[in-house]
Amino acid sequence: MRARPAGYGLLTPVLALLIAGFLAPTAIMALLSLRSYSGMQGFGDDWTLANYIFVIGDPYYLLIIGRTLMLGLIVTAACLVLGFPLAIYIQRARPAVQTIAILLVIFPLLCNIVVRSFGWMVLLAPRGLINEALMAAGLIATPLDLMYNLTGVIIGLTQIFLPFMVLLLIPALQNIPPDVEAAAYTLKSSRPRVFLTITMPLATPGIITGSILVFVLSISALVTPRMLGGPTYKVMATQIYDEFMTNLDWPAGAALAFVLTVIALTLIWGANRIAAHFTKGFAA
Amino acid sequence: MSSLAIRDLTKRYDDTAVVNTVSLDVAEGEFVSLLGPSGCGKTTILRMIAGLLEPSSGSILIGGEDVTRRPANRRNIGLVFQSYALFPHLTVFENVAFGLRRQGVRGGDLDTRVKEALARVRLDAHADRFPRQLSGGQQQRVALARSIAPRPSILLFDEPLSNLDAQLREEMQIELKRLQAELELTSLFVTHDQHEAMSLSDRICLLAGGDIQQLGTPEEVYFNPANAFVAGFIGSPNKLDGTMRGGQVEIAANVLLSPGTAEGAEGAPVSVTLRQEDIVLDPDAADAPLSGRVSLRIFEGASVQYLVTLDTGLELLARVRSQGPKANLPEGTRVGVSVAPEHVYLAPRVAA
Repeated sequence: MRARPAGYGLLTPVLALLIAGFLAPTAIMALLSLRSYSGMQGFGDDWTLANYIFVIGDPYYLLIIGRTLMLGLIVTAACLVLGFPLAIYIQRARPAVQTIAILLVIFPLLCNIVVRSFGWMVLLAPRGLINEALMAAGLIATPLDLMYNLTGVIIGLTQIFLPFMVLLLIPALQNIPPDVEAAAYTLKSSRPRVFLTITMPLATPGIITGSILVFVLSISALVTPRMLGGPTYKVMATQIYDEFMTNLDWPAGAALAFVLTVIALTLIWGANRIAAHFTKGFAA
Repeated sequence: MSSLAIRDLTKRYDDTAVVNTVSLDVAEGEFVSLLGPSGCGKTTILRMIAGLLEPSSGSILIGGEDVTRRPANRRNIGLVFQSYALFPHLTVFENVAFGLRRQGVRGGDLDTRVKEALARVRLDAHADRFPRQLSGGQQQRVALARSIAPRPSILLFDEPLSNLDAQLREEMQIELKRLQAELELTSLFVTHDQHEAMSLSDRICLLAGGDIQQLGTPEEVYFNPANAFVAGFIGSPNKLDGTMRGGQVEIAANVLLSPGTAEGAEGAPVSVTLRQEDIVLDPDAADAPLSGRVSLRIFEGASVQYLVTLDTGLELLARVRSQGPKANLPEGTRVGVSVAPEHVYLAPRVAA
C-alpha cells in the first residue's frame, strides 16, 4: 500500500519548529565557524578553515577533546555497570515493587541539575561530608581530591544520567522472549554464563541506545562539569561556553562545537553498526 | 536415557498447595503425559523436575539419583517449551550446538552431532537460518533438536504443540511420537489437550487441584475413569445435577438412570456425567422411559452431534459416527435415549 501524501501534512508543525529552531541556527553556526576572528570586530568577512585547524592542532584543545571523550566513556561504563543489575532487579520484581522502584529511579530527575550538582559539591568538597567523615574515622590524614577534577565530574554525571540508562535497559530486558534464559539454563549453562551468552546479547538494543544517550549527554553536559570541575578543569562544553561568553571568540567556539557534533555523530553511527551486527537475528 | 521418579512432591505458595504430595514413576523409554486443566499444577511439576522451580518438599530422582537440590544446568534434562524459547540471536546450528558446546563437544564432532540432530527433525537444510526466518512448526522442531542433541537423561515437554495450528499439531504429534520411539526417550509431556495426551502417551497422569486424579494407560483413563472429574475431563461430557433415589439417580422429576456405582445415601445430591459418545439414541424406541426429540443435528465430518431435548425439557448432547446407522436422524425425530449403567458417572455435589 502506498502512503497517502497528505500524511506528510502532519509533519508540518514539527518541521517548521526544527527548521526555525535547529537547522537555521546550526547553519548560521556552520558559517560562523568558517569566519576569521579578530579581537576588535569579533569575526571578519573572509572564509577560512583556520579555526578548525587551530582547534584540532592545538595541544590544549586536543587535551580537552580527549578528556571529554574519556569522561563520556567512563560515565557510560559506570552507568551500565550500576544500571544493569538494577534494571534486572526491577524487571523481575513483583508489579507493586516494580512501580515503586521505577518511581524511585525517576525521582532524581524531578530535581534541578544545578541543585543536584550543588548537593555533590557539599558531599565531595575538601572539607565536605565525605572527607570530614573519612578523616574523623581516621582513615585518611588529608582530604581526598574528589572535586575540581575528573573524579568529581564522573561522580556527578553518573548519578545524573543513571536513570536514563536504567529506563532504557528495562524495556530491552522485557523484550527478551519468555523462557529463553530458562532454556539456556537447562542446556547446562551456569547463571553467569546464561547472563553473558543470552541476557547480554539479547539486551544489546537497550545497551546501545542507553549508552549512546548517556555518552552524548555526558560529552555535551555543561552545568555539572562547570560546577564539579570548577573554573580550571575544562571539558568541551565548558570550553565552548567560555569561547563564546568569555573570550568572545565565536568562530573558535563554533568550530569546537562542530568538532563535538561530528564526534558524537560518528560514535552514534559506529554504535549502530555494532548493534546491527549483534542483533541481525532478531531485529526486524 | 534414565528413569524418572518423583516422591511426595509438593509446591506451596503461602498456604496454598499448587502441587500436593504427587508421586509418579516414569520408566526408561516411557512416555507419560501430565494432563489437566490450567492451574492443575502440571507445569509446576515439570518446572520442579527441570530445576527451574524449587519444591517445598518431596524429592526428584533421575536414574535413581536424587537431584532435588541440584541446579538445572547439572540435571542433564532436555526441556521443550510452548514458546519454543529459541535463542533469537543465534543461527539454527548454534542453537542446537549450544548444549553440546557446554558438554565440551568441539570441532568435527560438534558438526556431526548438530547435523545429526537437525536431520532427525528434517531441518538439516536450515542450519544457517535464524529462528525468526522459520515457521512456528520449524522453530519447534529446532527446539526439539536442541533438547535431544546433548543426549539428555530425560526429556520434558511443556505444552510444546499448543502454539501450532490444528493440522500442523497433528503432524508434529506423529513426528514426536516417532522420534520418541526411535530414540527411546524417557518423556514427560505436559498438556491440557486430552487428544494429544491420548495419542502420544504410554500412560496418562490426570491432575486436578494439585492432586493426581488417575494414573493409567489412555484406554484405562478413557474406559474406566476413576472418578467423575476424570469422566468429565476425558471425552465430551454432559454434566447434569441429580439426586439419589432408591439406588438410582433422578436427573429430572421421575427420570431415573441406573449408575455404575451408587454415590451417597438416599436423597443425596450428586453430579452426573454422561459422555456424548456413550448416549444411545434409538428412533425405534420412541416410547422408552427416557425419550425426546432431536432438536439440532450438527455434521462434524467424522462424527455427527445431536442436541436432544428430552420430554422433561432437559437437553443432552449425543455424538455418533458419521458413517454409522444413526448418522442421519432428521431434526424433529423422536428417539429413545439410554445410557449403559457403567457409563453413568456420579460424584457428590454440594446442594445449592
